[in-house]
Amino acid sequence: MFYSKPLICIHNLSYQYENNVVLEHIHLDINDGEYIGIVGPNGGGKTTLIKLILGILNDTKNTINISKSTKFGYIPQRLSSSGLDFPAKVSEILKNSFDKFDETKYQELLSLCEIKDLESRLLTDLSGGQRQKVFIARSLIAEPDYLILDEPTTGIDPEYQVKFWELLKQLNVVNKIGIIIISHDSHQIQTNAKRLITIDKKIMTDSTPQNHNHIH
Amino acid sequence: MFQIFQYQFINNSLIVGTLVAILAPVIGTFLVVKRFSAFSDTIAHTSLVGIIVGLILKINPIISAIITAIITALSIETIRKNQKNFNDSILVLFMTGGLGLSTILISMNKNSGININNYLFGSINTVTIQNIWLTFGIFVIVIGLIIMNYKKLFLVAFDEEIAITNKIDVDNVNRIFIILAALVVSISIQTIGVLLISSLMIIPVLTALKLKQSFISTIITSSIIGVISVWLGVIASFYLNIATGGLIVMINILMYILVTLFKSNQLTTNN
Repeated sequence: MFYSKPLICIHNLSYQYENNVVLEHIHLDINDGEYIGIVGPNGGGKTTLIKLILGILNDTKNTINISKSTKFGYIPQRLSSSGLDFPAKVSEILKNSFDKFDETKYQELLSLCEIKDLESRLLTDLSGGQRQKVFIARSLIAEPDYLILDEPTTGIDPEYQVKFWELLKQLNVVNKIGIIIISHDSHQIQTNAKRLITIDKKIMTDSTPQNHNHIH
Repeated sequence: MFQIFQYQFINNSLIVGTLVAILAPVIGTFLVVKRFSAFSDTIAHTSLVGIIVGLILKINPIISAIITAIITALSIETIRKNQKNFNDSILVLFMTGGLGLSTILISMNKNSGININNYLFGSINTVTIQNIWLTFGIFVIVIGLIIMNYKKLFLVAFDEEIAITNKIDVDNVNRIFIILAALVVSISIQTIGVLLISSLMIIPVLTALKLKQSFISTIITSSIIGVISVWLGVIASFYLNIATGGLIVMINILMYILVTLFKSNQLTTNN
C-alpha cells in the first residue's frame, strides 16, 4: 500500500517516570489511515506511548513530530468504567463534544454507531458495550484522522465485541480513519490490524500480522 | 404571616441567600463529579484567615476572604496538577493550616473585640447592602462564565484526558473553575458560615443525584433544593431564633433523607 508522508514521526523517544524507564529509543513512523495494533506485556509502556502521542503526557524533548492539523479521537482504558457514575444522558455527552452543534452529523453518528435508541438514556444505565459505542461516537465528532483505543474490549460482552471489531474495520476502510489500538485480544488484533507493533520499553517487533505469529 | 418581610435585614439575607443557594450547588455539581467535594470545606476554612484579617484591618471581611480563597484555590490546583496521583488528604494541610492561622491571629488581637461567630455559623444579621451588590456582581460573573464555558467544563469534568485530546486547555479551564469556586465559597460565608458551607454546596447535589437525571437537570434541581433550604432556613431561624446556617444544613439533610426514602420505596414498588 502506498502512503503519503507519515503524519506521526517519533524519533528516539525515551520516557521515564520517577527514575523508572518506561520507554527507550522508540523510533516510529505512522502513516495516514494505518490500522495498527499495539501489543506487549503489562507495564511495557504501551499506554504511555499513546498518551505521549496524544499530548496527555509531556514529550519534553520534542521527539514526537505530529502535523498540526492532525486530529485524534481517544478512548482511554478506564473510560468504560468511569462512565458508570457520571450523571449525564447520552445526548449530553455527544452534544457537549461538538464545537458547533450539527444536527445532521449528530444523527449520522447515532446511526453509524447504532445508538439511536440510547440517546435519551443515562450513561449510568448502559451496559459496558453500549457505553463503548457511545464513546466511539463521541470520539468521532471531531472527525479524527486517528482513533486511538486503549484496551477497549476489556469487560465487554462477547456479542458486542464482534460488532465492535466490525465497526473499527468499517471506520478504517470506509471512513478512512487511522486506527491505533492496544489490545490483549491477539486473535482479533491479528485478524484486523494491518501492522502489529510489540512494545516492551523498546519496539521489539514492527511487522504485518502474517510475519508476526509469535505474539502472546 | 408576611410581617417577616418588613425587616430589611431579612430581605437582605434572603436576596444574598437566594443568589448563593443558586450558585453553590452549580459549583458543587462539578466538584462532586470531579470527586473533589472536600475542596469547598478547605477553601471555607482558609477563608476564615481572610475574614479575620479583614476584621483586624477594618476592611470588608468578605473581600479579604475572597482574596485568601483565590490564593488557596490556585495553590491547591497547582499541587493537584503537578502530582500524578493527587491525594486529596493534602487538603487537610490547608484546612487545618487555615484554622491554625486563624486562632493565632485571634489570640494576637484579643483586645480588638473581634467576633467571628457570625462568620463561623452564618447569620442573617450580617448581610449589608454593600455585600448584596458584591454577591450580585459575583453571581453575574460566575453564571456568565459557566454558561460561556459550559461545554469545556462538562468535558473536563467528564474526563480530563478526553478533554486534552479535544484540544481543550484543561489547565486553564480548571484554573477558571477553581477561582469561581473560591468566589462562591467566600460569598456564601455570610449566610451559612465557614463551618457549614459545604452542606449548601454538596448536599443539594447529592439529593439531586438521587433523582437520576441529566447533568443539566441535576444542576438545576440542586439549585432549586438549595434555594428552598435557604428560604426555609432564614424564615425558620427568624421565628425560632435559631442559627440560620445550622437550620439550612439540617433542612438539606432532611430533604436528602426524604428523597432517598422516596427513591428506595419507588424501587421496591417497581420490583
